[in-house]
Amino acid sequence: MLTIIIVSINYSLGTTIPVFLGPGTWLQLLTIALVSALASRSDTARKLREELALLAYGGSSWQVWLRYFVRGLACALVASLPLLYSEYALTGFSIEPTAVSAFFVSSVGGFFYAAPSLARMRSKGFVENYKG
Amino acid sequence: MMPLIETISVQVDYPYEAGLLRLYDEGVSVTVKEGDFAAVLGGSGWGKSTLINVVLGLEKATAGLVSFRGEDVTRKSFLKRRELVRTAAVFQRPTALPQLTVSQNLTLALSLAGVQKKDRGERVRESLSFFGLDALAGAYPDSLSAGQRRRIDLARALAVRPELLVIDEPTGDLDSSASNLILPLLRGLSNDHQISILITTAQPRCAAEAHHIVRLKPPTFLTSQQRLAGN
Repeated sequence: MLTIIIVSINYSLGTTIPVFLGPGTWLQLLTIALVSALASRSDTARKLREELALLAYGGSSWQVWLRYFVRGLACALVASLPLLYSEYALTGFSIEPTAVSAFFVSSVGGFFYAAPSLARMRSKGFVENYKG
Repeated sequence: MMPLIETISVQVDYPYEAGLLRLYDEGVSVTVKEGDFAAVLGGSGWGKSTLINVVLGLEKATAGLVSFRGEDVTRKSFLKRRELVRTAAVFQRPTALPQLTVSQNLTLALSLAGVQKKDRGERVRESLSFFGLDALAGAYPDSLSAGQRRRIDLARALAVRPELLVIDEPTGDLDSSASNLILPLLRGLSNDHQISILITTAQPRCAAEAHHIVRLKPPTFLTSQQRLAGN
């Protein structure tokens, strides 16, 4: 319900104040950030196992962070494609504003998807998971 | 000969509301030279895994010193320490990624270690063969027994051709037949391949395989009053 409301507000703002990080885009970014953070918090046990494995294999926490960032970036981009397309259409099929929006949307998605993972890996209790 | 790694009088404190749990009250000192096989022997909860984490740089010691090739690395991270001594670790809990096959897990470890793509296949085969896992290359870790998963972790660690192999309880949750498979392989790695090995164990029989043993003592618990009294 909340998502529908936000998307509706976003769409109506998007039609009246189009493009280039107008209020509609900010709402979209907020939604993406919240949804990405929520998605990242789901299935924590599996993600924790992945983080433990990658660090044990010799990866750095930044490599793991980057892995999740790319995953979040891709998810946010795919999820926003309809909205990005409407923006593209509303701006008279001009590529630049849509590209800027896509950049911000995907970056925010990637960052908020990866942030909980980095926080987990930096926490004091993380290495306790290696113990039996 | 300069030791590959050395811990000198290391202590680790865990503060709690009621007081302080102190591991290695008198300080623990461990020395591992090149080609050495050292075992840390101690009971459950005596800080064996913590010592492994302190050596690797995953946990900080409250007191004492850790050195790699004579260089003080007490405040350095796991990655910085690995630049000095090529280290691979096998933890008590199996770490193989469940969504990848056994050989894919090993390949991933090699790619993270920066091994060139053309060399990875051969290294994976070699390492799996050493631990008798050739037939399981295409299997998924979750479908395997505890002993097999333990050997996968060892094969993954060996594939990167480490100078130092750190293993937390290599036979911890294994029956005697699985233990009997792993221990001679570890001794072989040390004797024939000159890989330095540091293991922790609660089993004297397992520790007896090593060239030398470091015995831990039970931790001490200091109440807040004792701490204030200066104990």
